[in-house]
Amino acid sequence: MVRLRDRRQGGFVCCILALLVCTFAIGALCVFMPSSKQSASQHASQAQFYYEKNKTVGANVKASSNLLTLSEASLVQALMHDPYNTDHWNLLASVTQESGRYAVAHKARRFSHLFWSGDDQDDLIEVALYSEYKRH
Amino acid sequence: MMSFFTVEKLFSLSFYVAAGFFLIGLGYSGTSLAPTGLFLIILSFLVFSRFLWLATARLKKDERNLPDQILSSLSDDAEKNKDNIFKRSCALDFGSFLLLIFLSGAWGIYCSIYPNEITSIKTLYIEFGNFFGDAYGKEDLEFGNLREQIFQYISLLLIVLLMSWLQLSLSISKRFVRHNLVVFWPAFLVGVVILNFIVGRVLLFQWPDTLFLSGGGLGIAEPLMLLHPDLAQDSMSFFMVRFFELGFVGAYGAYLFLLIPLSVFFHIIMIRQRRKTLAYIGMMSVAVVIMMDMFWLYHPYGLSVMAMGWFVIVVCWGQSGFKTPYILR
Repeated sequence: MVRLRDRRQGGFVCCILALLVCTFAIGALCVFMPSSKQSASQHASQAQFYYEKNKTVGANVKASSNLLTLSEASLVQALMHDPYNTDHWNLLASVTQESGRYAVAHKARRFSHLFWSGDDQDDLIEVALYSEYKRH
Repeated sequence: MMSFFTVEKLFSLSFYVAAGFFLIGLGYSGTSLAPTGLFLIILSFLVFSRFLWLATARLKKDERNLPDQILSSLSDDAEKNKDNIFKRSCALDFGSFLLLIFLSGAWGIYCSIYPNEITSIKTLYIEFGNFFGDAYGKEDLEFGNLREQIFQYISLLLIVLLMSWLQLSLSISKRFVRHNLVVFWPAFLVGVVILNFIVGRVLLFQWPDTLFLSGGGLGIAEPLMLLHPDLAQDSMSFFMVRFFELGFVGAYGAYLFLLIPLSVFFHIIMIRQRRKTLAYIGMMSVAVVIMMDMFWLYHPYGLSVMAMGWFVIVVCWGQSGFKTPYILR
């Protein structure tokens, strides 16, 4: 018969062995947990939900207005890839208006209006806007 | 039956292999949990086998007659060494380290489940990410969910715990300590210098106050860095990343991990007056790790470099704590 030298050591050994079993179980859980790609798709759907909600009900970003510190240049540059989508300009205008960035909101509204206003002067408007954007 | 030295050599080799995988994985790890989990399983098997091997010295047969009792009292060197390692693992310093690991895990889970107000950043980032993704005509959102973040954090903590114990138990051998210092110490110092050139240091350092006792939860720093590129380039050190995720308690509490080996080093230098060189190396590594943590910009490679620094600290700490270290020939 084999036994440990005292009861306290036996308890310690049992605790350590239990910890190692738990470690093994956590490792197994990590291996069989859904991958990050599935998680990313879940987040994308969640983001879509927030996006639709804010689009219809109204952005709830006023409380976080101090967090909206993306530069005006980067905001405008992002939308310049598809400048004729006036919904994007209007959404940017409403979000920045609510967050107190009135200069960006004003510019977004102006761009929305200009890009909506006709097809025959597209190239001219785009060149003018791009030069204005570069100047800023 | 293999001798004590042979088994120790095998475990040393296993440690080096595991450390190599750990350092590479830490530097290049993505958000995938599977490799982390697999590594944790292998490491737990390794630690389990070593623990059982050491625990055999604590087992004894139930002697019924006098000759058996006399023979069992004459334990050999191998048993004494095993017993020495076992006692070192039960010492107060490693017990405190174990407790800190559990407290860190609990605090990380608490901050993730009950995050500070800073968590609104993540929602905002998702909205803007989708907004820009729509504008660019693609979706590139990649986030780990809460469960994934928590499991990754807990796995990392457990890996650090098991690796530290493995290294601490092997540091009874002076040869193992010497090899560790030859491998990890120069690599650590060179890594710190290289990171200084390729990533850089913070331009602005602010001491966080107690206003944010808890943080915004695990994984919050990444969207924050994307939302605030200027902040990321100027002041997002490892310390600030920890502050955003785990708050004031987590940011400063991590230094308690360094306080345990530091107390052993002070004890060696001030009271025991022997094996001072290792204590000085350990103290210098602690200073460099703190400096890097506060003033170096966050980068995944930096985590590997800090892990190398931690290996140096642990090996000096482990060796300093042994009353009779074994000189392995």
